[in-house]
Amino acid sequence: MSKSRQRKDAFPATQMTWIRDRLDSGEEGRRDVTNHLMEVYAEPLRIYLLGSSFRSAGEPEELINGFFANRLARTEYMDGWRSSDKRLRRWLINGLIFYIKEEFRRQKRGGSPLSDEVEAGLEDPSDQYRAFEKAWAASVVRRAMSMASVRCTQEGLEAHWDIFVRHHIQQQPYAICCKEHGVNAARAAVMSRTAATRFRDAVRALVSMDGADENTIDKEIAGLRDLMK
Amino acid sequence: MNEIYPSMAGQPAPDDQLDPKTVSHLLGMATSPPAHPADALAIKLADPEGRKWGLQVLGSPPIDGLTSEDLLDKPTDLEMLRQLHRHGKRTFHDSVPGDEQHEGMLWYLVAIALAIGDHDEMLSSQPKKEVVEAILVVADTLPSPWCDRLETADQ
Repeated sequence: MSKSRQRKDAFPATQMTWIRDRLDSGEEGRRDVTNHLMEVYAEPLRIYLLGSSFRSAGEPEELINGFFANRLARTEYMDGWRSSDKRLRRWLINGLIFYIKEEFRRQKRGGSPLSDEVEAGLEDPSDQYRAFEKAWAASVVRRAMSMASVRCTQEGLEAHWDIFVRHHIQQQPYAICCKEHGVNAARAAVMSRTAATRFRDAVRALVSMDGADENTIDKEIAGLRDLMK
Repeated sequence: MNEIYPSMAGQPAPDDQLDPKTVSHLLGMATSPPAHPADALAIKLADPEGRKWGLQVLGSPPIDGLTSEDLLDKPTDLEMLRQLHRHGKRTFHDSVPGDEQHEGMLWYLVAIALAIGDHDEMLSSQPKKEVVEAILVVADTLPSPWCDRLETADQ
């Protein structure tokens, strides 16, 4: 086996296959995928809608719930993503826009159309995509924190995780956050570093699930960081 | 900075604490490669498959006459640890990034940790604080008794 192949196998974040595997494993797997999508994508989609002309089309939460329920009930919807080259977040936002327009046409046929003014304003708000990307980056970080927290707990590293959160989120110096755990500042730094590896794995797994491969994850993350400036 | 720091044990930060600067900082922690080879090793060992690999490696020390039991029973012979340290260092530098290099780093750190813990002897010319930190990062990813054994470097 080549060195590069070995490295790829050893790296835990090549998770795009997770979605594929779960989709192929039946009803329970599809539920897992739905939960994942709701956790990581619902809030960024909501923010996108709030800043766009589509906010006139209805309550964002209702539109997003309706979109997920409608599209994820169709096997071919996620199959379409699997055969596309698109990032999942781009696939979902395109799908959401299409869904809203579809809903609009349905309402029109059903006799309760949106006003002409609203219809005229329904455009793809590409300028709002940046806000969506920023919200997605924050969503990935939040979800990764949740995953890393669970993993640290499972591994008996609760104190490590607590120090990580205190230092990197609450910006406490190690000299302070170490006290509650009865360790010195240097040890606290090491413990935080251990928790950081779990967090790192989780972020990379989530970016990979979105469709980035191992060669593009770093570029993808760098792009998200640029958006935060 | 606030004087009062509420406990958030095991909990993700509330949404409103994730300002863009914090998000960027946290994302930056996820880029690779890790700054230190010990972090790269720790990342590998944190994965179940990686941990299995690590325990397999630790089960077969690469020095003639040195067994894993010798390493786990305190004190390990200092001369054996010197040989192990040299082997680890050489393997790390002579190999390309990957398992072999991780293996070199693992033996390098094990040898230094046990030499400090058992003999109060520093085998590396690197700053002790940095080396001990690297040892502890790796120790955190290993189960007992290896974890406890490596942590003696910090006692």
